[in-house]
Amino acid sequence: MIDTITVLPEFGITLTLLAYLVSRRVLRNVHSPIANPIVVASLVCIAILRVTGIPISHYQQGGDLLMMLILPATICLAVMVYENLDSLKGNYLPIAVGSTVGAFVSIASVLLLSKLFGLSLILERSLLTKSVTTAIAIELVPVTSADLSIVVMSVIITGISGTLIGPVILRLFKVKNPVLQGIAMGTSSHVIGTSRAMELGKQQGAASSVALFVTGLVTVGMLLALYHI
Amino acid sequence: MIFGQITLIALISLSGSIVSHLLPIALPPSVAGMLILLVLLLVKAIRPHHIDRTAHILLAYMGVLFIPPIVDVADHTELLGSQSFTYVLIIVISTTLTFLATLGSAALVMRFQRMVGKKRTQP
Repeated sequence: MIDTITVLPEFGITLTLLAYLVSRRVLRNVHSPIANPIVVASLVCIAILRVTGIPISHYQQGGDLLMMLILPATICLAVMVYENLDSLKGNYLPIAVGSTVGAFVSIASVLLLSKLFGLSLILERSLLTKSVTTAIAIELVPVTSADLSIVVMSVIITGISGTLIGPVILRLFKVKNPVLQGIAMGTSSHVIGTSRAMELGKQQGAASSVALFVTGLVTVGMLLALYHI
Repeated sequence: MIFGQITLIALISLSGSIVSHLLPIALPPSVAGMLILLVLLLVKAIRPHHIDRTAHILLAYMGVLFIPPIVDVADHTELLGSQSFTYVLIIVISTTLTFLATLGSAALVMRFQRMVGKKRTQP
């Protein structure tokens, strides 16, 4: 009887939304990148599925429907980029160069470090898109023949580590320029870095959101050149 | 009108998918759609108020859409095996390097721009 309910898409959707709602409420006053509501909500879902013995395949009936919204949501990033272009006049070149260099270093260092540490091929491939926003990373899975769930996890761990390490580096090198701060946050840790950059200031947020867009485009180009053509 | 905005986003998503399908390279549909929307905004064929209310809602809650693939990791733990620590370590090192390289190169370009700017202002 319970099986006929959990296999419905409504089950997976409701569980996801409820888990997110509760996680956000609980973490409302916790300002740490580690207490990411998306990660916590995912852990809550996993725990509930484990305890009740409901198969993940049932949950994913609803999960797949939610994931269909990733495409339209990603497209809306263009609106965010457009709204920020005006305030960044004169800074287009540093953003373009910084994000391009960052995208290259991200891919090159993953390839190098994976060889160095003997990481398995599937994990190495799933790390190539770690610095781009989740939606673009997901769509690059067929290009890099990576594992979808590991890809998403890589992107999120990258985002969290960037928001932890980034501000330390900025303080260490006494970087005061808000645009510079935003470029580095957005390029190295995409949307998660951008939401942290927005907390630092309006200009940081604007630069970060444009940087994450450029990083995404450049990464797509580089990976298509490396693995497809 | 929200309904019009949703329709517009659906239309651009569809265009992105079609363009991605027609191109000889595997350009992701979302990237194609994003570029189409950005161009339409830049040439002012679409005004921000045609789309922004729905766009901001989708952007604000985009993270929720990534919960299902993360939950799926629970079924893929065998891929990590004994390498979880190495895997996280590589992410941390690579992210630090990426951050430093981006910061350094962008700072260099800014310094270069200031130098050129100063030269121009000098008679």
